[in-house]
Amino acid sequence: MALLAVRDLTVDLQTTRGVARAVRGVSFELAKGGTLGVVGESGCGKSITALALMGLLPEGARTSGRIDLDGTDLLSLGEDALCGMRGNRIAMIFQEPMTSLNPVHRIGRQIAEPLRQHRGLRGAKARAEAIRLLDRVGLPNAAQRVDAYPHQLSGGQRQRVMIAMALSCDPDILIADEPTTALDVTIQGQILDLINELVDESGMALILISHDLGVIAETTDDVVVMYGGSLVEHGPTDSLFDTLAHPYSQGLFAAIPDIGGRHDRRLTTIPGTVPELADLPPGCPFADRCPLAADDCWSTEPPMRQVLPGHQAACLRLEAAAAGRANGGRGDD
Amino acid sequence: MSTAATDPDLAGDGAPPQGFIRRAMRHRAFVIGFALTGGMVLSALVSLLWTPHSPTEIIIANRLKPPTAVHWLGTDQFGRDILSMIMAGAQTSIVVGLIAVSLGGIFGLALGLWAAARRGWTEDLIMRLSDLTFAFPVILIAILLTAGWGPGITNAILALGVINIPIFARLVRGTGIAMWEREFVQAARSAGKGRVRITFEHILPNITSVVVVQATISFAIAILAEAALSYLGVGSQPPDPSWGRMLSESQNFIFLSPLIAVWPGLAIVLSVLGLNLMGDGLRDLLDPRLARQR
Amino acid sequence: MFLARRFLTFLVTIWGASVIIFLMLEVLPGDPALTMLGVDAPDSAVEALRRDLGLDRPATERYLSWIGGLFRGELGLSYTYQVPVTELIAQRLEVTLPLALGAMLLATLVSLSLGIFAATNHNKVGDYGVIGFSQLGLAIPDFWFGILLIILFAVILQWTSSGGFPGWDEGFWRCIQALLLPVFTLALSLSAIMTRVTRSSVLEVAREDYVRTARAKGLSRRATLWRHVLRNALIPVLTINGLLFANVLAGTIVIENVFALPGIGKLIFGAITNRDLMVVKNVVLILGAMVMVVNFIVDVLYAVVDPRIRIHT
Repeated sequence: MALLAVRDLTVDLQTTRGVARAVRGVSFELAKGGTLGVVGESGCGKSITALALMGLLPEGARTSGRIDLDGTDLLSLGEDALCGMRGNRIAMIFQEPMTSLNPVHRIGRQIAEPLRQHRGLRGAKARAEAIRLLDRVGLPNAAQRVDAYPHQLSGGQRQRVMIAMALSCDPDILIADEPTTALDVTIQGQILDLINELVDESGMALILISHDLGVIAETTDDVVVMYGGSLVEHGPTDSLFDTLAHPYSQGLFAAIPDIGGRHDRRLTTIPGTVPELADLPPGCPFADRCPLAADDCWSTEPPMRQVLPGHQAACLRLEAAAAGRANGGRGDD
Repeated sequence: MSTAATDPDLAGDGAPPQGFIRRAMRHRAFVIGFALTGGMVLSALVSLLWTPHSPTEIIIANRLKPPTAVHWLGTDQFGRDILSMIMAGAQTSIVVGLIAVSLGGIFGLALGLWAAARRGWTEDLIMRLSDLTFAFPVILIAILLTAGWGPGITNAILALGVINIPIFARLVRGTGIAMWEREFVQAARSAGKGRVRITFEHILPNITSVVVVQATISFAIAILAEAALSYLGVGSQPPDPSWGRMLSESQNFIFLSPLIAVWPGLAIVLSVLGLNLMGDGLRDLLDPRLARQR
Repeated sequence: MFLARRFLTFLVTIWGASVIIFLMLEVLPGDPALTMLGVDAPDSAVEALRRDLGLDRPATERYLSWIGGLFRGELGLSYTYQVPVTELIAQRLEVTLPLALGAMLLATLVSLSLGIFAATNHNKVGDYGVIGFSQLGLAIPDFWFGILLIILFAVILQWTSSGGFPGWDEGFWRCIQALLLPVFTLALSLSAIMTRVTRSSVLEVAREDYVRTARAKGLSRRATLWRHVLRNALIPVLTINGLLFANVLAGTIVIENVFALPGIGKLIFGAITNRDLMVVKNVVLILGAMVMVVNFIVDVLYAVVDPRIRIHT
């Protein structure tokens, strides 16, 4: 049985413009020790999905569906039980290491906090454990740095501290929401390598959220592509990157500048903007930006269709998309 | 290609928010504030033409009467009708607030616009001077000035006006500098328009909303300060009607007639509350960005 | 290191304040002796007073002798009271200091509890109640609130007297009783402002990323509030509260008149209206010094709360 099974997850948020359906019937599974990438433009609902897994949605949010962790539905748990899960069985690291640490507390104390909360560790023991964790995430001089304040560390170092904090209770699942986006390019690789290494070593499962396809391709076994709050494509990383069944996935890939590419390709962007979640039209959410959209795309919500075994995409015009991809491959426009 | 053209935030800088009156009617705090302020202004206006009794006529036989059908709020230690005095007292509060805020507003606006347009040492000088006045509480400066110039309503107004100058200057400078960096001002500059012309054509119309909000708040503070000064005896002098002085005079008679010390205070609270609510409401209505920050 | 530097700034500011006060009161045009006695006074009397006040000496000499006197604790003689200013101020501080500090303490306690309560009940009934209280507190003139308290407790309930101060020799509790209503009066508008600041500060910090981190660790809402939100939210609150101390001292001018308390506020108000310059300049300097001492303490607390300041400056 899968470690984590998300079924038909829907999240409604209260916004100033009314109720917005930020996540629409998302389903996926994650095996023990597995790695899953979540890709999409900002505002596609990927961070909200992560927060829903943590039970940390903003005030006034409403959820439906199931999030089963080892057979327990997290959505049905009360706040106390959720507190026992967070930082213990599911841990999360965030995009902004500069602001994600409390400026007035020493980092040692911040790392030891989950240990104190979930393991009852205090004093010298907690401190020793914090030093061990800092050492493990590769922070030099861990024994001294444990008494440092966040402002004395660089962005990369702070992200290492965040990772140490997330690892402290040996979680079953680590959720990393754009963990390298805010960092220098040179540091990004180091942090990703560290995450990969730790995941291999500890056997925890990883959900990596990113808009950077390169990062996802390097790190994860499976990928889901999200658009407008829905899953549009879902499959093993290799198969998905080879096939790119959904027109949106194709658009996402075309939008990456092809550095060092042989042919001097112009940087394509997907026309139009990410739709406002508050006023999404019926039918396929991508219809108004999709080059292949036909009349029924505007009225019918596309069902998930199998592309290859274990690889699905939600599109009415998969065949046309496949044909278009074959044409585009010849490379003339 | 470009989505900017359809973005309502970028279209038409400085255009008044649409449907202002309709949105204002739905803003509860603004409606209450507007009603209270309207009541104060109305009673001052009516008192110019008519009051139930004379606010100044002394009838000793009538002294310290409780509220009756003839004297709705009773009479004071000289037999004057309290309702009439409060209505007439609104005149003083409004005159003080109006002149003090206009004085501070006009000079502060001029200095702030100047500082924003010129920058450099003029700006430094204006800002250091206003820092100096910010270090002292309003009421202390007002007492020092009125006591120095001699007690009286004119000096109280002048003192409150002077205190308001740096408040407006600082606000206008801050907002003005932000305006000078906006694209449409940059465009006007590259089109060769002079600083004076840009100030009047582009800067001034775009800072009116913050100035209006500040004026409302300053008006409320001026009413409170005038009441305190008159209470201490350095503000308005007899026989001018004044809420603050009514309170100081009534304090000697609270053992005989406690109610006479209640009414003028209530008048002050309602007026100040009205202006503050209206100011908060205007801030929300005129500048949604500012409101969200709070 | 931080403290030493901060203490130095503190001394320099006090010195600056003394120069400004001296310039304003003594060097600016106008003859203090003439103002004191009135324009109708005979020349000989004015001349004699000028000699008494030392106004015939050059300004620098007068300034130095004033400052020298400050260090020796000799501030000259009050013109109206004919007693040494030092004595006068010491006597009055016995009333004003407990009044001002009591009001600060009360307002801080009230505003912290109300502000935190409102922020944790954001957009609920409790929050609106607190907002209403602070709107009302800002609109009520403090002297009127004092009169209302007198009417309630002295006139109707007859629990206390309507004002006055017995002096600390007459018994500790009687003095505390006499200061109770004035402290409440002074604390009203103060708590209103502080509550607003606390509420918005807590709300702001609650939106910070590190608060989300704390929740992601499994801390409950309450634990997050105490361990992560409050300490950060206190930083702006401290600053504003320190700045408000000047308002409290100014407020004593009015409040001591309402309750007939023989304090500094009443002293300076009388001195200003009587042109008792010796008293005015020394009291203003001492009030200024008190404000600066409080802000110095605030800065020290600031460094305790916020490690970024401790290490960087």
